[in-house]
Amino acid sequence: MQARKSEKLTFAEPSRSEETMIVQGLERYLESSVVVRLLRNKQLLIGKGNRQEVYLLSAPLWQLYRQACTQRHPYFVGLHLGELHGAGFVPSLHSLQWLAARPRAGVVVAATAEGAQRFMYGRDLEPKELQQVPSKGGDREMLVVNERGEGIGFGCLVADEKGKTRLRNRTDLGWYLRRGQ
Amino acid sequence: MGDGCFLSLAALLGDGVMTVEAKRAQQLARRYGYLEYMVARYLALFGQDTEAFLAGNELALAKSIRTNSLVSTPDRVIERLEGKGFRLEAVAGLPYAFRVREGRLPLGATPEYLLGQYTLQSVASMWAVEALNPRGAKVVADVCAAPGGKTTLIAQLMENRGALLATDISRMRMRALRSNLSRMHVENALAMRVDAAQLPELGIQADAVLLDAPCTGEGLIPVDPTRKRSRQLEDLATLAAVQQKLIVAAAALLREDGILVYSTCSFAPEENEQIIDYALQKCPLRVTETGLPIGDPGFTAPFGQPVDESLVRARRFYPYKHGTEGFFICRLEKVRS
Repeated sequence: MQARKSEKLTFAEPSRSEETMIVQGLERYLESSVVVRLLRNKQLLIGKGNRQEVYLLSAPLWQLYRQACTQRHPYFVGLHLGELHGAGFVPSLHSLQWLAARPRAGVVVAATAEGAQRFMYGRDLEPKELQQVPSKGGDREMLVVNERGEGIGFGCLVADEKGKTRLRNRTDLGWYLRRGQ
Repeated sequence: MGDGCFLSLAALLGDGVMTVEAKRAQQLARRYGYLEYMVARYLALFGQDTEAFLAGNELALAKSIRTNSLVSTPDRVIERLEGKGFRLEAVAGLPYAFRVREGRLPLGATPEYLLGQYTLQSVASMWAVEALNPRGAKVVADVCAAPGGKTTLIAQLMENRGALLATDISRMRMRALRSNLSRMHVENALAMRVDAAQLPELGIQADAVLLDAPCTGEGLIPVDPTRKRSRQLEDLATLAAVQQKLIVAAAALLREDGILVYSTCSFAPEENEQIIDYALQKCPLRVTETGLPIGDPGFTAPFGQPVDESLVRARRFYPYKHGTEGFFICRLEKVRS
């Protein structure tokens, strides 16, 4: 999700198919019109190494990139939207605020106050710790918010052996303490 | 600048005979736990204020936070933190800054911290960015940026607009920079790991450049008392050579009329006024007013060695006078050739 270790990435503009994957990935969380606005007048870049990181650059930042990065690659640039994994796009913690601000219906799971706290410790959540669950969660990744509607991470809804819905943690803001220092 | 410019203990104390000043240095060094050469230098710099200075370094500095206007307002953040039992006090002149007067939870682990609504930052560091005043700038560079406290404040004052180049040489510290940029919702930064000597090759013409140079960190004694004994006079010479290289490289990134702010968390003139004096001789720069409402004037003849008189416009921060860590801030403008 975030920088796992210091490895060099080589930056390039995305191919048509990569761009499609990114847009489709964002449209999973945001309405198409919001995605269009998010990407308007901006430049996508992919940092390729052991992983494929997707970045979004404003026009002034793109200009700086073209000036400063003729011989060197950046370490990080603009808004880190997420990563390309296989045939899909996985959003990052950096893009969480964007996604949580205007999410598409049916992709948000709200945690209780206690649940949100446990979730940010990297825990999965039990049914009693979820206060708002979309009816069709079905094994797909969800945006997880706290009781104030603030994005706190990403997780998957899964049914336990009794058929009750649990939330499996994929990543959460606690990453900044556990790994990001 | 040669090694000869660094005031040695022998030069300060005289050869052989224990002068009154030397005895006083020895006495104060023992009382406050410093290496003797450091106190001898403080006596030469601060005279009769030396004991107040040393006593001030013994007092705990209040922690301070900076609220992040990129995601919230100071009022909302403070309300939430006060609801968790923190008592916060506004810092005059910095609408986003608050000193923490009371609080039992670790400030670096609250949900609000993880949400990027505030960060921990020293008040003196915030003043350095205020001297830069990057509001409305198109291109800003932060040299020696990691771990990114000042970088994220620059982005905040730029309102995530324009472009911000953040460079550092340390691989490990780049990770912390990246994490802070992400947590604090910075979207206008390009972080690059590069040796400062190579900065001019980037071909950037920045409106403003911040150089918070690596230094001996004497100013951090109130938060890290081990620094009373951890640095030798030779370290000053080594770091000054690095600082000279950095300031020349930073000046090369500036456009004409652009602003360079040089700062350190050191009291030593060899890392501050004498570096600026060196830069004034090597680069088309002039010292301007910082515009800051606090701080003592810079020295113009530290240890009796004259430097450019415009250094009086620089600002020095002392724990015993300003309630901040020890800090030096100088604002320079690149003059038209």
